[in-house]
Amino acid sequence: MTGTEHAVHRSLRTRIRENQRPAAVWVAVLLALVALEAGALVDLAVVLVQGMVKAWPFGNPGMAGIESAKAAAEAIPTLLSRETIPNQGWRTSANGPWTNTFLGLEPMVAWLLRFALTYAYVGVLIGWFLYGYRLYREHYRQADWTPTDDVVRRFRSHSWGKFGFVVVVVFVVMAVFAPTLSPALAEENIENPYSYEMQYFDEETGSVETVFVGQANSQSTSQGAGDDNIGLWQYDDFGRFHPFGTMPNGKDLFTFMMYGARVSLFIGLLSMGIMGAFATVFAMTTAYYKGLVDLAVVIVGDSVMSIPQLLLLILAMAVFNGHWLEGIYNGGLLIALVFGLSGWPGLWRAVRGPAFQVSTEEWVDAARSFGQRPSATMRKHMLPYVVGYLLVYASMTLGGVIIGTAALSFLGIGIDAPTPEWGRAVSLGQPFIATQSWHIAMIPGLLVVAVVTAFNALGDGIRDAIDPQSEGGESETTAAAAGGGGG
Amino acid sequence: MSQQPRRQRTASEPVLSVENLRTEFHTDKEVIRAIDDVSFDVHPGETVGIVGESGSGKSVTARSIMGLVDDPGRLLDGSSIRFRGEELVGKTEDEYRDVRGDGIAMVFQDPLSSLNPVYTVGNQIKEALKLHQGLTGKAATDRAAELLKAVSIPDARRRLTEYPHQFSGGMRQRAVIAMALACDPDLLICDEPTTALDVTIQAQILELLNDIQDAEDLAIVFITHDMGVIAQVADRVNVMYAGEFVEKAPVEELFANPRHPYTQSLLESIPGRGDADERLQSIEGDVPTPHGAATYCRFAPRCPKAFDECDAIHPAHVDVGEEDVEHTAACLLYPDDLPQEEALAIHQERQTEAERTGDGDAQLVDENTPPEEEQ
Amino acid sequence: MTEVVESDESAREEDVLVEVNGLKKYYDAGSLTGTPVKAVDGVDFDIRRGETLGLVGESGCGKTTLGRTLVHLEAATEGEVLFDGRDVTSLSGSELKRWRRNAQIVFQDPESSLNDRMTVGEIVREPLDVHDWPTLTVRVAGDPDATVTGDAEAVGPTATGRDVDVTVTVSGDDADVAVRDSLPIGPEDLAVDVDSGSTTTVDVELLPSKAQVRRAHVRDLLERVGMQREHYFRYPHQFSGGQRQRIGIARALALEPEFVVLDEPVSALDVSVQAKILNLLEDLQDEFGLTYLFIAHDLAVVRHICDRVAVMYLGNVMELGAADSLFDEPANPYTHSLLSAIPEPDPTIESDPITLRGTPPSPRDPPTGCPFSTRCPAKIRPEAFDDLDDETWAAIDDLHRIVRERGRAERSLRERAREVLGMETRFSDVEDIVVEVFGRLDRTPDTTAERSFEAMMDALPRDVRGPLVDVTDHLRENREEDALERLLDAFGSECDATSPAYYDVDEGGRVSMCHRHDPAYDDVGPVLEERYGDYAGR
Repeated sequence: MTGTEHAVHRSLRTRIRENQRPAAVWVAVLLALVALEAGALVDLAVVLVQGMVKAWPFGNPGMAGIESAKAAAEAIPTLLSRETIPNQGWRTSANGPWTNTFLGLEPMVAWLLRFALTYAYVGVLIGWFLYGYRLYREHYRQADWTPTDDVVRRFRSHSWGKFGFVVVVVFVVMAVFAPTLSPALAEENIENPYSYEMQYFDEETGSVETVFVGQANSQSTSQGAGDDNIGLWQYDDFGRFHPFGTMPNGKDLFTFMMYGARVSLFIGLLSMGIMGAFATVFAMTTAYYKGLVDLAVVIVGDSVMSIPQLLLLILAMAVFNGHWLEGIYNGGLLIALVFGLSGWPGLWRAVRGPAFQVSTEEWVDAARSFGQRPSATMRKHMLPYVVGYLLVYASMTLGGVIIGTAALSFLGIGIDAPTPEWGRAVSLGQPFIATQSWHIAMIPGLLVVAVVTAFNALGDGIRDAIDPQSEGGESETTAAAAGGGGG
Repeated sequence: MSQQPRRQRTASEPVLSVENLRTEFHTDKEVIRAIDDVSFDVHPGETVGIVGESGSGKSVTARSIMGLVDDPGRLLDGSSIRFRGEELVGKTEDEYRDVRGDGIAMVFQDPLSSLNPVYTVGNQIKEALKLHQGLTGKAATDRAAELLKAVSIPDARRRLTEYPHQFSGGMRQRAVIAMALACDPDLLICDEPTTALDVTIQAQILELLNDIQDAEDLAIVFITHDMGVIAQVADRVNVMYAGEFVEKAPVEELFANPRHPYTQSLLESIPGRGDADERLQSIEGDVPTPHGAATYCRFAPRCPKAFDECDAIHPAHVDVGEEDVEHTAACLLYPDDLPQEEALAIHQERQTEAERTGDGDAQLVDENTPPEEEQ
Repeated sequence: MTEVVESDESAREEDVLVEVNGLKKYYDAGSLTGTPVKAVDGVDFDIRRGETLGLVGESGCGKTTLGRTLVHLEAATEGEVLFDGRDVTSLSGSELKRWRRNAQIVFQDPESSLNDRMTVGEIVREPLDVHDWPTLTVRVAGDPDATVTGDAEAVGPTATGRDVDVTVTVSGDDADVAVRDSLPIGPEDLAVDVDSGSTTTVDVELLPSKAQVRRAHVRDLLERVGMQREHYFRYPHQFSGGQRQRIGIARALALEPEFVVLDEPVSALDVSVQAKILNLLEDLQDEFGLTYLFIAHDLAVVRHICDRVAVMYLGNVMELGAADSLFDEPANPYTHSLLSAIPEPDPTIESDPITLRGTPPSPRDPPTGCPFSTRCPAKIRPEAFDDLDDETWAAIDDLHRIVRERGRAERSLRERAREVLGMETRFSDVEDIVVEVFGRLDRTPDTTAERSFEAMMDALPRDVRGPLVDVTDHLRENREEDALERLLDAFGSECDATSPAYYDVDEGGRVSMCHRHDPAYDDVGPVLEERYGDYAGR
C-alpha cells in the first residue's frame, strides 16, 4: 500500500480539518442559537424526569434533587421565556399604563410578540439546520450524489407535502413550547387555579386588587348567554387577554389548546413508537424467513386486528381505573399503550408488501451467498427500502391516533380532567355551539382537522419523494425515450 | 418450417410509408430526440426488420407509428406516417383508435403485461372483436376459439375460459398474437415478441408468424436486437443506432456485405461468427442519448474507422450496393468509388439541404461536442 | 443399430473440484398442498478444477436452482455435493460460513443484484467485512512447529497457493518476509518479530488497519474488472448494465473463491456489452485460476466460453460432454432440437428446425419415464405402429398432451357439480377436440360434430381407431386417468415406461440420457433424419 491510498479516502474529520471555516461558522451560530434557549431545554428535560418520577408507583426517589434542579433550570435566562417577555400584567389606574408586562405593552401585544418570536426562532433554527446540510453536501461529502439527494429534491417541489410539513412543525412547536406560547401557565390557570393569586385593576373600587385565579376564572366563563361570554381575541374583566376566548369554566382556551397539543403529541409519538417497533421487526423477519414465521405473525396479527379498538380502549380505561398506569397523564399513557399494542398489525400489513418485494431482490441473495448475518442483511439491505413506506403510513396513522384520542375524550372516556385534551374541549363546548360561545367547540375541532390533514399531507409528500414511480412517470418518460422501453 | 424464398417487393403500393419521422421527449432535465429522421416503407406480404441495441430507439419507432407517444413526447413537424395512403400524423386519439387493431396491430415484448391478469383470455379477445368487428355473444366466442386454433393453441374452447397466469409464456404470446389478428389487420408490428421466450418456443412463434403471413398476406415490421432472428424472419433490414437508421438493405445483402462500421461491429461481436478460440470483438463505449438534431455522426466516438470529418458532418444515406440491390448506408466512407472530398461534399450538401428545409425544431442545437464517453 | 461406445477412462481421472451425486431439490416437499415442485430431480456430474462447465436449458429446467444449490443458497433435498472431497450439503453454522469463501455466485440481473443505497465500494467490500478479511495465514519456512502470534495465524502443513498469505524465513533473530502477490500489502506493512527460544515464536502485526487493507483490495478488484478506482464512491445507478455486472463480478471475487457460479451473467446485456464481459470472465479465469459453472440459455455464448456443457431439461441432465463435439454432433434428441431451434445469423442458410410441439410439462407433474417423452421428436414407437405416418403420430402426441393437461386443469366446485350431474361444462366438447387434433390430417370435416367425428374415425386405420374410441369414451366421462392409461397402453413405449440410463456416446467421455442409445434401438441421428428430413443441416 502506498501513501496515495491514504490520500484518496479521507475520513470526515480530516475533511473538516482541511476546510475549517464553513463548519466552524455554522457550529458557532448553532451554539449561539441553542444558548438562547438552553434554559428551556434543560427545564423540559427536568420536567420529563419529574413526570416519570412522580408516576413511579414505588416511592418517589430523589424528588428533592429534582425540585432543586428545576429551580436551577428555571433560573437560567432564556430568550423566549415568560420572565423575559412577560405578558401577564395589570393597569395601575383606569386608563393608565400597564405594569409587569414587557416594556409596559398591553398584554395582547406582549403575548403576540413572544408568540411570534418563538415561531421565528424555530424557523431560524430549522433553516439553519437545512443550511448546515447544504454546507455538508457542498464542502464535506465525498460522494457527489446519494439517493437521499433525489428524495430531498422531490420533496422540495411537493407543495402539498410542504404544507403538511409546515403545519406539523407548528403543531410540534405548540407542544414543545406550550408554556411560552400560552398567555397563561396551565398550572396556574387550568390545573390549580385556586393555589395562585393574581392582580388586576378593579374598575369598581378603582384600585389594584388581588384575587385567586380560580375566582377570576369563575367570573370569566363563556356559556353562551349574552354577557357571559369571552370570545375570540378578547380581554376579560381582569385584564387578561384570551386569544381564543375562555371555556365554560372560565379557563383560557388557548392555554388549554397548547397543553393539549402536548398530550396529543405524547400519545401519538408513544403509540407510533410501539407500533413502529413491532411493525418493523415483524416485517423484516417475515420477509426474510417467510414460511412458518410469516404464518405465525399473520395469525397473531389478524387476531389482534379482529379486536375492536374502541371497545378495547373503553375496557382498558375501566379496568385500570385508579391504577397507577392510569394516573400518568390522566390516562394518556394507557391510551397510548392500547393504541400501540392493538394498532401494529395495520402498520405491519402496510409495510409487509414492500418488505417482501425487497426480499426478492438479488442483492439480498448475494448477501446470503457470502455469509452475511440475517440481522445485518435485514438492517442494511432491506430496511432502507422499507423505511420510506413506514414513515408514510406512520404519519398517516399518527393523524388517526390523534383523532382517536380526541374522539375518546369527547365521549368522556379518554383523558380525564384536569389534563387538557382537544377532544374534551369539543365536548365541553358542544352545548354552546349554536350560541355566542361557538368558539369553544369550533376551534379545537378545526385544529384537530388541520393537524390530522397535515400529517396525511406530510405522509403523501414523503411517499412521493421516496417512490419516484408515483410522480406520474418522470422516470418512465426518460426510460421510454432513452431505452426505447425494451431490451 | 421451410424457409420461403425471399419475398420480392412487388410494384404494389406500400402498406406503410414512414418519412422523416422525428420524435422528441421534453423532460424537466433534458430534451431527448429518440428518433431522428427515420424513413422506410413496408409492402404487403413482406417482413421488414428493425435491428438495434437497447437505447437505439426501436421501440419508440413502433410506438410512434401506433400513435402511442404521449406527453412529454411528441412527433416533430415534417414527420409523415402514411398507412394505406392515409396520413396518420396529426390524427386525433379517436381517429387513431379506428386505425389501431383494425389496420395496424401490435405485439409487445412481454406477454404478461400485455394481457390483463384479472380477465380471462377469451374475454380479452372478445373485447377486441367487439370493438372492431361488433361481434358479441356466441359469434364472438366462436370466432375467438377459431383464432386460438389459428395460433395453434390446442383445446381452444377450454382455454378461452382460463386466465393469463394459467398459460405458459409461449402460449401467452400466441394469445397476444391471436388478439392482434382478431381484426384482420393489414400491418402487424412486433416489438421484440420472442426476446422473453426460450429458444424452442421462439422457433414455434417464428414459425407461426411465418404461416400467418403466408395465409393472410400480412405485412410485418419485426423489431429485435437478435441478429439471428432477423436473419431468419426479415426480408429487408434497417439497422438502427441512436435514433437513426444507419444502414438499410435486403437481409442477405446485409449479412454478406455489411457496409456501415456499426453493422460490421455488431456482426463481429456475435459469438460463433468467428473462431471459437479468439476473443470476442466488442464495441467500446455506450450508446449515446441524442439530445437534438445531429450535426455529426453519432457513431463516431465508438467507430473504429472514424476520422476528423466524422465529428463535423452528418452522414446521409448513400447507395452502397450493386446495381439492382437497394442497399444504403449513412457513413462518410461512402460512396467509396469517389475520392474522399467528393464523397464528403455530397454528405455536406445533403446536410445543408436538410437544415434549410427545416428540421422540425425551432433551433438547431449546436452539438459540436460529441457526448461524453463512459468507460 | 446404435454402436456401443467405449469411453476413455483416463479422461475421467482429472482433478475434480466439485462432484455432484444424486442431487435433488424439491420445493414444497411433504407439504400439505400435494405434489412438490421437482426443480432438480437427480443430477450427477463433476466439475474439474480450472474448467468452465456450461449448464444450458430452457426456463423451468432447473439450472438456476442447481446453481444456487451448489453455493448453498438453497438446501438440497437429497444427494450430496462434494467440494474437494468434502460433502458440503450438510454444513451449517460457522463451518458453512467459512466454506462460503470458496464458492461464490454472480447473479443475472444487474439492476437487482446491487443494493442501490450502498456505494460501489461498500458493495464490494461487504463480503470482506463479514469474514473479517484478511485473516493472515503465515508459514514459517522449514519450521512446522513454530507458533505464530499477533494478527496472524499459522497455516496447516498441507496448505498451498492461495491459502498461504505470508511466508517467513527465519535465520537467527532475523526474518525474511514474503507476501503473496494478490494481497494489497507488502512486507513493509508487516511488523515481524522473531523469538527463537526453545520453540520459535513469530509475532506478525499488521501495520495499516484492516479497513485500509480492505479498501485497497476493493480498489484493486475494481481495476481488475475494468472499472476505475474512483468509482469506489459512486452509486450503482450511475453505471450502465455492463458496468454493474462488472461490479457484481468484483464482489464475487473479493473473497478469492476457487469456484464461481455464473448465473446467466450476460443474458440481460446487449450483444456488444456481452462480448466485453465474456472476455473479462475469461481473463479473470486465467489470472486467478477459477473454476466456473456457466449457466445460460444462449447456446452460442456457451459454446464460446465453455469447455464442457451439460444440457438440462425438467430437472435432469440430458447430455453432458465436451462443448465443441456436443454442438457439432449432438447425441440426445433434446440437444438436437435445441440446437436446431437457434436462429442462425446467416440468412442464406435454410433454417428448418425441428419445431418441438407443446410446452414443457410442469415440474409438479413430470412424465413417468423419460422427462422428454411428451415432446421428443425421436420417441420410440411401438412396433405395431411402425408404419403409421408421421402426421398421425403427431396428432396422437398432441392428444396425449391435451389429455395430460386436462387431467391437471383446475376444476371449480361448480364445474365438478355439473360434471356429476352430467351437465355441459367447458370440458365437454371432447369430440370437437379429437376432430380438431386429427382433423389436421386433411380429412374433410362434415357439418355436425358427431358426423365429422364419425367420418374422421372411419378414415383412420383400424388399429388406431379402436384405442381412440376408448379414449374418447373415457374423456367424455371425465376419466382422464383412464384415458391416459389407454393411450399409453396402445401407443406407449419404453420412453413412457422407464427413465433411461446414461450411455457413453463418444470416446471423449460424453454421456447422454436416451433409450435410443441402447443397441436394441435405432440411433437418434438416423431416426431424426428419417422423420424430419434434413433439418438445419447439423
